[in-house]
Amino acid sequence: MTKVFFDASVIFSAIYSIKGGSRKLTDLVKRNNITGITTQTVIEELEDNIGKFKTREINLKQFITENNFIVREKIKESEAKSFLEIVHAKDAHILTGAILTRSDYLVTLDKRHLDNPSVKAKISKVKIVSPKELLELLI
Amino acid sequence: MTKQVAQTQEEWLRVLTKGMVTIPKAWREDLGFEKGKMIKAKKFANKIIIEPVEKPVPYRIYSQKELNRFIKDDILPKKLVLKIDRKLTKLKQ
Repeated sequence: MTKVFFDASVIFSAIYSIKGGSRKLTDLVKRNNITGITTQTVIEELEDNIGKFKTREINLKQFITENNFIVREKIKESEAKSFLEIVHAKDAHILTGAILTRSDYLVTLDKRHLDNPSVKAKISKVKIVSPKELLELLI
Repeated sequence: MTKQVAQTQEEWLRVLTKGMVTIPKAWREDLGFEKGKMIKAKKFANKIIIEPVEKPVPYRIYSQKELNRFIKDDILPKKLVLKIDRKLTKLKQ
């Protein structure tokens, strides 16, 4: 089964936009069509970002559990060290998580820091894609 | 990648005033024990274990504008939505 690593931007959009590509991906995870993976660090990042959207009460942990996500333990500083030359320190945990969990794809909506040609050129162990690109590949 | 084999190393240390001991330099360097850095000590029966504390990795706090942009960029073309919905319906059955 295809292993897909979800970053905070995609889980965030899946929660707040029912019709978006991210939600379609989490629906595929829920139906065991793909394996959805994230880390405890991504969940912490989400918790801190979700606070800005106070329009809806969100139970993040429930969302992660109900959608059958596999959650890896927190990324350690020593594990993220080797990615500091490729991305900003704040984004290194994402690449680390995707590679350590041996995911096939890293799905992100963050074009500025992750889904851009400069990062993609330096990463060969995981394919960085947007939800739309991944859905086109899967469907 | 080099495989690290855990090997027990032993040293005799002298306890100074107020229980101070000097951890051998090589061990300090190996474990990243730097001056002023916090380390964790645990006491089990007649043993004390001192270990480095992993600092949590930093992560990104997005601006409201960036979060709104994610939702906007996540909108799919109608044709693709129809295809995915068909697949999802099949998977439900």
